[in-house]
Amino acid sequence: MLRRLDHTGFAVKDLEAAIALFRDVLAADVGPIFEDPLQRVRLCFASYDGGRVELIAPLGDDSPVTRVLAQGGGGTYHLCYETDDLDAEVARLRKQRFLPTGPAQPAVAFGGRRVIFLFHQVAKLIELVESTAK
Amino acid sequence: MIDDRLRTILADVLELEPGTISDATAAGEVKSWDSVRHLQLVLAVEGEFDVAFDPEEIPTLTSARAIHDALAARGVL
Repeated sequence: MLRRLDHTGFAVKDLEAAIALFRDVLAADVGPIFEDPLQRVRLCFASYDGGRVELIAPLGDDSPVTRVLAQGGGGTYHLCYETDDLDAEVARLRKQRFLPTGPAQPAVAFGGRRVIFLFHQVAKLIELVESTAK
Repeated sequence: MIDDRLRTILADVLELEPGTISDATAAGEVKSWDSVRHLQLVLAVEGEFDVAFDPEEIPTLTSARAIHDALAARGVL
């Protein structure tokens, strides 16, 4: 089952500029920058008492975030949920017409825990992250 | 020859005239076939034909022929 909402994904073209905005103007605690060669992104978390925002910039023209920026100009584009059993949750959501956009992969920003993105006609793009490394 | 149900889905999702769609219709040649429409297209095909594609297979379904072949491999065409 889904345990909790982990973060909101926020696509940006310029990560350093977005960090400055969220830290200096929007009063977030901004963590370290990660580079994830599998996901083809650079990212960091902007955290608040009630949640956190994942600031994500493309790592190269073949990044999925490049396409997000080209299509919508960036901003909020996915919600990430934590789950105890990623494979079971994917199977459950698959029956509810959520479509994986690719296989589950380990993510640098989550200490190697696997993540997977799924698309739904109404919910749009969601991400699942497993709660413990397996 | 392309299946009529598949042609209808391609036309609806990609906003194309059905008569312009052939086996050779492919993502690289159709401007509206972007990454989001691709996911919408695969969802529509799965719903119509009651199949579920593997995650590794979904990015390869980038032409009418490829989708047709994937459906044929599942015995629904």
